[in-house]
Amino acid sequence: MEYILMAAAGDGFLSKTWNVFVKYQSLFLGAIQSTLLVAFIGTIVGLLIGLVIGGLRAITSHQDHNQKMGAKLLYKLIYGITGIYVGIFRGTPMMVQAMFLYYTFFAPIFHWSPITSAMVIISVNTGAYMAEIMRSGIQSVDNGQLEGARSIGMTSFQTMLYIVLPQAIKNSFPSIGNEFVVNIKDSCVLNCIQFSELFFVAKSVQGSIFSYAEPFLIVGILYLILTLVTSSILGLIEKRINHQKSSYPASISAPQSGVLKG
Amino acid sequence: MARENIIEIHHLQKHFGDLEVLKNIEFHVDKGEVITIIGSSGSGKSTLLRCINLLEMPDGGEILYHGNDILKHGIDINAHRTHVGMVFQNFNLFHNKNVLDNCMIGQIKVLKRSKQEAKEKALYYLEKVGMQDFAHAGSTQLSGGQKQRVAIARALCMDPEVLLFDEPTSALDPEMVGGILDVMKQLAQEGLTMIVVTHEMAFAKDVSNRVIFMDQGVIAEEGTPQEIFEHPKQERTKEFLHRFRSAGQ
Ligand SMILES: Nc1ncnc2c1ncn2[C@@H]1O[C@H](COP(=O)(O)OP(=O)(O)OP(=O)(O)O)[C@@H](O)[C@H]1O
Ligand SMILES: [Mg+2]
Repeated sequence: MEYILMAAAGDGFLSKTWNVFVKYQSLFLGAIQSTLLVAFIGTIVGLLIGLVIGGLRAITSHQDHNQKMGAKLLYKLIYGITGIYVGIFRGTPMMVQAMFLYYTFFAPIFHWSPITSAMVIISVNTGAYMAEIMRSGIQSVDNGQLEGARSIGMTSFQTMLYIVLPQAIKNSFPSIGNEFVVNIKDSCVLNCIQFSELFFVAKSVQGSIFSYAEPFLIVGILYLILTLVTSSILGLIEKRINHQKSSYPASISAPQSGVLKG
Repeated sequence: MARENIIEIHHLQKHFGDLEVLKNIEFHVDKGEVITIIGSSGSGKSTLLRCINLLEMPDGGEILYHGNDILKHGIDINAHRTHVGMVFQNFNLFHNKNVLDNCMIGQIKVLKRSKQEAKEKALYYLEKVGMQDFAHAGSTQLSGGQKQRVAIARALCMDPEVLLFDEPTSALDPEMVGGILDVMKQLAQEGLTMIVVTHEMAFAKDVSNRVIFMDQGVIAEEGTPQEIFEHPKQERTKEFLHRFRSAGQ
């Protein structure tokens, strides 16, 4: 890749850009790492939050007429509270969430570093999106699957854990993966709390060389590479999931009648 | 042989909104009996069956299982469901599990059997229904008839005392129906207690000890296959059978 860029560079703007990249490459490479780290942690923790919150929301979203008053109220309460969480974190910009939480709580009270705070913020923010992804994923699982599980005596928790969630995750894998790609890009707003990711580094470099074009072209290309590589890896995983290997016997004809052996 | 009463149902009622689906159902099942439930669409057959293993919660009445009312508080519904298994019209195999795992998961998670024991039992019943070669096939790759065989094996793996079948052949291609009915016939001969909702009148005639005809939420008539099919007493039973026969021609 370096050779291609160099060849294309020539004498003018591109070669200048290349020189900027080489000069500050340890900064840029370090920023790639922290961007990927925060995006990855945010997606995984966000998925865990989403599984719990989305699961709760799927369970509590409809009330059974067999339920007692107390259970109905509890359901409404849980649905309401989780709804507030989802509503706030999806309904406000992550940059605003970051500024508010970091300067009000994380830095002054908890003394968290920018990178720790960044991980927490992106996780909680992603969790709100994942909750909605998982809720609809769970609700898209055929009701017959639940009845099959209940008919052999599985508890609702076992049904959720072993039957519903695996299918919900599989069905919503494209959306889950998309959150990772979004996080790679959107982590850039966390520069506002001094978290040194790609955008933050581009700004610092711009401050030293008094020029915008080169550093932002560089990070633009780096972001593009990261998202393209990530998307194609996710695409491969998705293919694997959808063609799970299973051994089907050579003879696929249905067994004929009278096959019961005692 | 002394008759042993497994299930007894008194004054069972169920409504969905304003619709009264079950009205004062009285009904009992003895050990080893094969009961078929027939009746026109919407008469409440599925609802009755689903009440027996509590997939549907009745609004009134009692369901006694070995004399204990399962509608009382403090009854372990999940334990009850392992004693009273269910086979569905649409199979409801777990899509995320292969054939063998479909038959093992309930044994391991609900009955707390060891993996080894669960596997042996699963393979035993898969062989019984003629699906042993498909143990490692994905459950979504099978034909309808094959799925239903696996679903029956899955239910049998829980060692149920009673097995409920809700139109087990209605979603199958015609050429698959016979095989499933043969499996059920064999289970009946082995002494399994079964309650079968079906439109397969030949099966009801040949295999069941007792036929129940449901109409508009009540048991309109009940008797031996001979009584119901040869000498129905009620006008609506005659009408139903007549309609059924002329539709079948
Ligand atoms: N979950 C439900 N909510 C509302 N109404 C229902 C529900 N389940 C069943 N019903 C209604 O209850 C009545 C009886 O239904 P049920 O499924 O027991 O009939 P059925 O005898 O099994 O009919 P079929 O032969 O078509 O399967 C029908 O009118 C049906 O529309
Ligand atoms: Mg029905």
